[in-house]
Amino acid sequence: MPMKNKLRVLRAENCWSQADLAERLGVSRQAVNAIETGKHDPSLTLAFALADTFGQRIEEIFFPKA
Amino acid sequence: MSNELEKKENIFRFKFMIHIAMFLAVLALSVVLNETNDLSIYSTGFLAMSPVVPIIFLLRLIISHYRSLDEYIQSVMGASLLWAVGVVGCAAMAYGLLSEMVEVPTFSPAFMLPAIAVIFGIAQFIQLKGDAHEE
Repeated sequence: MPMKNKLRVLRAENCWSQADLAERLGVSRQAVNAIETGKHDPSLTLAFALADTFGQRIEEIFFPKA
Repeated sequence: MSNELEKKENIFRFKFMIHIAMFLAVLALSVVLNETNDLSIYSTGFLAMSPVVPIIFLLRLIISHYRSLDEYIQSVMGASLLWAVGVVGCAAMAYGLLSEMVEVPTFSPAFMLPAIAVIFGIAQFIQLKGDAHEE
């Protein structure tokens, strides 16, 4: 199921670059870019890490494309 | 790239270059020893194949590095390897079929692994090109 996300919005709210977010998650900047653009869906571990980083639930960050 | 990832990448690059240097040194030594000495067929064969040993250690290094990468880069590397093996495999098959019918120049199988490495690098570059700039 193709997924959308609001990572870019959440990043902007925190004034983080993709590199900043990548460093917090311990992944590459390319990985963050790929998740944001929908090119790659994160694993459960990474999805939980993202949710934890932004203080939100996974379902509030990722949602299926209509 | 984060500082920690950058450090890991630099350490990998350094170890990679050391392994390549070892390969070239063993290759040079095996050629020199084979050319300058009249060795038995077994010694000649062993020396001729000896450069593969540093490559095996290099393969271990690459696999260890692959395991330390994040899931997205692992996915890109996996797809790139599939492309590399597929392209080189198809080229080898085409060459083999052609050689059954027409005269073709001889091609050493020793170039297969470098060909896979080159196609792998190109495939990885193409896949990561879209992620090069922050949007």
